[in-house]
Amino acid sequence: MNQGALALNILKFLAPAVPMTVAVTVLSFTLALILGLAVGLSQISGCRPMVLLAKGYVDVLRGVPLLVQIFFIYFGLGGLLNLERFAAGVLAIGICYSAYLAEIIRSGIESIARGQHEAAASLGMSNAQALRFVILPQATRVIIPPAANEFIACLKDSSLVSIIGLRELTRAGREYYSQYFVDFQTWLLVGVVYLCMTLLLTKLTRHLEHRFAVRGFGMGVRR
Amino acid sequence: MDHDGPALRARGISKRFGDLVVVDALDLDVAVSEVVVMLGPSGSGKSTLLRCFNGLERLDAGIIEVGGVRLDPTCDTIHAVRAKVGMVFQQFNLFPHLNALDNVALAPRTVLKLPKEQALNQARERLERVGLSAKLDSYPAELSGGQQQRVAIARALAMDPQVMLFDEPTSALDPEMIGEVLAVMRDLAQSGMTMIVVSHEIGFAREVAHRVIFLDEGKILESGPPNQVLSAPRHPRAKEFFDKVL
Ligand SMILES: Nc1ncnc2c1ncn2[C@@H]1O[C@H](COP(=O)(O)OP(=O)(O)O)[C@@H](O)[C@H]1O
Ligand SMILES: [Mg+2]
Repeated sequence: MNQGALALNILKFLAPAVPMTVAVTVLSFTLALILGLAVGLSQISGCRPMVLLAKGYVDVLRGVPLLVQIFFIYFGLGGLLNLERFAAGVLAIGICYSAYLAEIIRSGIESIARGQHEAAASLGMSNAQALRFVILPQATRVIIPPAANEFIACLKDSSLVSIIGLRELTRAGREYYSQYFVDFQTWLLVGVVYLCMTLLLTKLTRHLEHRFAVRGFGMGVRR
Repeated sequence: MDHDGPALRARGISKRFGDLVVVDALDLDVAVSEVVVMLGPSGSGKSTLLRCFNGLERLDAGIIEVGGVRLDPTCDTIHAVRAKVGMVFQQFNLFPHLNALDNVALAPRTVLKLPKEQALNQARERLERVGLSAKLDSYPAELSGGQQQRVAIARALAMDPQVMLFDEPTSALDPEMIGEVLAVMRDLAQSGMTMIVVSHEIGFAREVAHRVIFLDEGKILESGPPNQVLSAPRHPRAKEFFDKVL
């Protein structure tokens, strides 16, 4: 087989695994966003038990390797709760990433000037209304760039679920290798496919940043 | 307003930060349509007092009533009462992610639950009142300081407040913009709005205020008609302050 045909052959083998990588990434990151928002808001809720719980959650999850968390959830909890590989993988990555997102969301909200809370309150808005209509729309702008980095990291870390047998991109690479014993080209192309996806994401997040930019608000974008 | 008492009544209110007493057992009645200008040295508690008046600070003692309704930061009705007290800040505090129209319409839509069109129409009317009909679509960062502060006044007016509080509304402005903001406030006073204004604009105080109050260390040391307080203060602390300021 010449190199071109080999590359095509490998890519054809990898392609069916891409949707699984995308599914794991998108679902676990969505979960991470929802949990991260809840945990981030708890951290600044001012309610002591909730603050402590949220801080503990973040510290524990950031202090343990993701791979260990995946093993724990799939082999440890999975047996008890009857979790399938897919659910366990998404859950493990989602929970782990929620800790990082909680920190990003918390610091994004805290970066909004005190005067904004006071202006909202002085107009009679409740805390929830102030958060929803005044604070979060502004914090979103601050949150998007670091959250986008996490999204890209999440895509790359989705390769870890290959270890519990989910047939995503990395797993497909291993299968190709074990059938045909081509290592250099296989892993080079697996890397290239990941790279294409992360570059696409980078482009997408730039687009998002521009969409959320407001006139005269630093980014110089006019709508 | 269906009560005959003062628009705002404060009785024995105190506010401490740690050991520092910032508002000290203070009494104040402000009549409906009265304009009170409050002066005092930096750190005398003027801002804190205004913040007490709309429940942004929790009192350590005393009571505040707005239109006869108790203002109680620990109670669920605080938001409703607070909506009746408009506040204009030194730093404007406009919402930077919204244009002028949406800045003004936001609270009527979310707090008063006005339908969108009605809230926007009302916002246009308020912005016209402060002379900004041409700037409805402008974002705060695209407006001058004076324009921003006028949007902030329109935003507070959109809630149809019974009392308007101004915390040094012109002290963050370039000198050439002070006049336009004071003109809006003068109109507001003439329309019968009840106003408590912290400001060192003596001309405004002389011309517009019904009463001038001198605050020092959280206490009212002087209170009376502008001419009397500004020209012939009785208290030595007030004399000393006015000698420096005037
Ligand atoms: N949140 C706060 N925590 C602690 N001290 C405060 C706080 N707010 C104000 N102070 C103190 O209270 C005093 C009065 O402040 P302020 O009401 O802002 O005075 P003014 O507006 O007359 O300059 C000052 O000594 C200030 O440092
Ligand atoms: Mg002040």
